[in-house]
Amino acid sequence: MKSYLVSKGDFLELIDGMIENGKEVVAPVKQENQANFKRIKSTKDILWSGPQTVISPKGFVFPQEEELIEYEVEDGIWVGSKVEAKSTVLLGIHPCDINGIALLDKVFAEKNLDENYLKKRESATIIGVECLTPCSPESFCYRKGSVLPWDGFDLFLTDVGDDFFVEVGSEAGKTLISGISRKTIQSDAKKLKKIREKRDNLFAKKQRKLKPKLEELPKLLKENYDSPIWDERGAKCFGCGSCNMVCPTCYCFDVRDCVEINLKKGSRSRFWDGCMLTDFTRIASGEIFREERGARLRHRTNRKDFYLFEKWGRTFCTGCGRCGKACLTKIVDPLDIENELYGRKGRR
Amino acid sequence: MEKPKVAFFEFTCCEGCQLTVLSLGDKLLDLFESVDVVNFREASSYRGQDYEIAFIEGSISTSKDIDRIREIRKKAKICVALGSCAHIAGVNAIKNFHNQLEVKKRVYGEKAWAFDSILAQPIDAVIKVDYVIPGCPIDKKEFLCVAASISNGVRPFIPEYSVCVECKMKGNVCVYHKPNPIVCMGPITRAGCGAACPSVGNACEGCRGLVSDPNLEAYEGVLEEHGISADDKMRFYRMYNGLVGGVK
Ligand code: SF4
Ligand code: SF4
Repeated sequence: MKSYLVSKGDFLELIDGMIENGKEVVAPVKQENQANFKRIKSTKDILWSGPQTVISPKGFVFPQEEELIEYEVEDGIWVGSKVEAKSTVLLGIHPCDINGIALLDKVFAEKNLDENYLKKRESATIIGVECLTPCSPESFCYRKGSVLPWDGFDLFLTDVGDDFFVEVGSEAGKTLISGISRKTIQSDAKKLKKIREKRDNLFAKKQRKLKPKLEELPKLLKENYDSPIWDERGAKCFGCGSCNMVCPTCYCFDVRDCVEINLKKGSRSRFWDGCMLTDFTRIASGEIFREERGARLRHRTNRKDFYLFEKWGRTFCTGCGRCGKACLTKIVDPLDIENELYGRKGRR
Repeated sequence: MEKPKVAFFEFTCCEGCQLTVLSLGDKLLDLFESVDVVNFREASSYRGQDYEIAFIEGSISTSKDIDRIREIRKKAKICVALGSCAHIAGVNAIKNFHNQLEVKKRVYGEKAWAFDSILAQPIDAVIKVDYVIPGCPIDKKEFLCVAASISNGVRPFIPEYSVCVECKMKGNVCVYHKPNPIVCMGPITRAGCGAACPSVGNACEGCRGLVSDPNLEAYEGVLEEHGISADDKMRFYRMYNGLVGGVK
């Protein structure tokens, strides 16, 4: 991977110039006692490190609500698909969320190419930033091997003092900084290595531990399909879906039609959905397939660290910790669940 | 296709839901074009008696209401409860939890005995209701979608999921995570309002009624954790949901 040095001042100037020229730049900004991704007017608004944003930035490539089709019924029937995207820079994206998007990239390009996603994704420039301190007490990215991006970024910045150490993930990224980038020399790489060692030590000390080995999670969950902990935790579940909504890797959606009141026009849209919701498990005939909340919780956890882990060879929980924070009854945190499953296995 | 004939009726309520319909702007004209509105007190003095779809606002709170709403049910093919007063008796039911003689006196004074007043009930306590448009007041967009679906002969979509879904979609900081949390009924309240109240810094008061399977035990655990007394808890439930099953 190519890397460069860019002075912070030059970089911010570059971005501010883009904003002035009308480019949509989205970055984390403070919101009450937390944060959120918003379109920014100046790089001064950016919150470079914690507190974490309430939801992940996935909505900018996979919106909460997205129109897919429009139709009109007058003398005949006209149907038009809607595949739209705005060129957007997603700036200040943390590794957990870059990895979330990298996983969505796999999912939405599997077999059926999801045009709506891909178009938005292609129009997004992702500029990540390394976390040098944990963003929240809930996060456990270090335990999920997610303190650095796996894939899916154009540029990745690390604060090394007056400069950003910039790793380039795409041609577009390289071009973007071509006017301000300097070559790195060996001492820069050494400096970066030191910073990362320090970061590793800090995260290892501060973040909650994952007792089972990461690569053993699929097996652990497989063996514990019938564990009582699903129902124990499920009993405290609202089925509120907060854990699904905030997650960078939850990608389920529902598709619904809305007819306009003139009965001549209508649209078909997709909306974020979630496996913890009753609506999600109810099918057209009215039957509910996964009635028990414990079973839904098991499904959610298995989707992160068993089914999709096995299928794609990579955990589908990047350890952002958002679900653990969002869940008011504190039952959903995957690390907590996995540690409890591991601990209950008498033989260990 | 002949236009369906639609009528609006009101029982005990503020008629705010009908006013919401009336304030639809351009869409109101579209509504009038696609359906034949034969009865809509807020909009016209014409009173048609021939209708297929009845939108009914308000709670049942007098014995005369019972006869009147049964008549409506006989005539209408489809009855839709409009807003929380019709749906769950809403704020009208607050009186149910007080001494009825005192309540009557407080409202009607010395002549209280002359007034016909019974416990407030949602309309489905008396008639079969086909669809519900929840909320206090109703949401314009949802009304239009439901009205269009019904006119088109399609089952309308009303979320089963809770307000938390829409609140998270908006990226709101959870009311319970703020430095001074207030009681929010979001986790057990049916969505559809776009998390209107939490999005402007308030808490959800549950005007859309509870989700179909609320976890009240878990909810009470959360309230307890946040130092809410049993009395305060009841006040929250009774604001809109005093009559909803499971709430005790
Ligand atoms: S499962 Fe929870 S911790 Fe893991 S990526 Fe999703 S929200 Fe973050
Ligand atoms: S696990 Fe927690 S956040 Fe997820 S649906 Fe249940 S109560 Fe809501």
